[in-house]
Amino acid sequence: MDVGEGKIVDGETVELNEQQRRARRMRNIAIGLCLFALVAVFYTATIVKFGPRLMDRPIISLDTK
Amino acid sequence: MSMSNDTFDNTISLAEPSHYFALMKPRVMRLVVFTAVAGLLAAPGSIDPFLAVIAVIAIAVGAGASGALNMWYDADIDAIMSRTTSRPVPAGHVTANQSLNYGIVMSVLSVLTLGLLVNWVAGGLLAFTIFFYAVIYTMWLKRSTPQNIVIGGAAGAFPPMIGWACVTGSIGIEGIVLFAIIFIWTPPHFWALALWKMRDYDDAHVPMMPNVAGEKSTRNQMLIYSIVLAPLSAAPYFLGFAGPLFGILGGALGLAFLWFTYKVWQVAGRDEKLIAEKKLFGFSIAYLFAIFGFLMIDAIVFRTTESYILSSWMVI
Repeated sequence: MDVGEGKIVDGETVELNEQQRRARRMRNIAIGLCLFALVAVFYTATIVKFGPRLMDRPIISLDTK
Repeated sequence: MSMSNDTFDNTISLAEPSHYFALMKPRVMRLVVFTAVAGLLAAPGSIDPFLAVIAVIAIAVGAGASGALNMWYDADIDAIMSRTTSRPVPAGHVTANQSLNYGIVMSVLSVLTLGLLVNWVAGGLLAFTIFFYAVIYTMWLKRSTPQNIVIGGAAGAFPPMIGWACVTGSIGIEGIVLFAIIFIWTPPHFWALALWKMRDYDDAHVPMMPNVAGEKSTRNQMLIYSIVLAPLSAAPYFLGFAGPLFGILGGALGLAFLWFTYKVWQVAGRDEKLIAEKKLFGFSIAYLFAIFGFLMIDAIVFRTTESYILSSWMVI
């Protein structure tokens, strides 16, 4: 069965035309970049929030505060 | 809706990332970023520069998310007004539902990011701003009262306050003054536009002040707001969080704003081309960039020389 430009192939699947394929690919890339940026931001911010204390690890600490 | 075509072909989205970006009202976002940075810089205390950048991006994305929610709800009237027909939803690039989902996801992400990484006062304020713009303004007031943009303007006035809260973790009188500057600035700014786009709003049945209360009343109200704005423009100096030079420049900007509004009031629409209104609209944008720009420069100068505000504190 043909519906508009997109064809239904093998009963269930839809064959995307070039423009649809391109738009989907660009959306996927954008979502991927955003998710990667979000992970990078949270990772870096965690390190930043530790601050210099990250390096300050005495072997025996008497001062518990 | 025109989007819900029953062919498979038309239900497959052709939306590109740029269309989604356009949903966030990039022009408004520019102003949001600018004023938020000013609030961040003017606040006493320090914030890690990396977290400051993240904070500004989160505020911008939050503001953008409320823009996307606005475009979801207003798709019907955006299709009528010439100023908004090219927006992604009425233009058919993105469906209203996609705009809604996108707005919700971006709202949650931006509030969580700001809250978790900076502080929850700022995060809470951002959440409230989005709620205020999307629900109180867009869904409720915009179509029901000519005071729509007066109260809706509050949403645009929050960013410098959020910036301030990012650094201090509180709101404070200074944050409220920065809020008040934009809040009082909005009505004359927007009504200047409404005066020459009146017919558009009328077609879309959006009750703007000139269509409802008449042009004369609108011009009177614009003048009153401008009279309040003039001293408010210099308030950061009098409250001690900006230097004397800011006081002079801010005061001058406030007076210039009053002058442009006075012209609108005086000509009272006798000029067919509405040049006074267009000039006021143009100047109002310059005013906001200038006043927050001066505030930033003032804060940077103070931070590097430590002499600006300190002297006035020592007197007290």
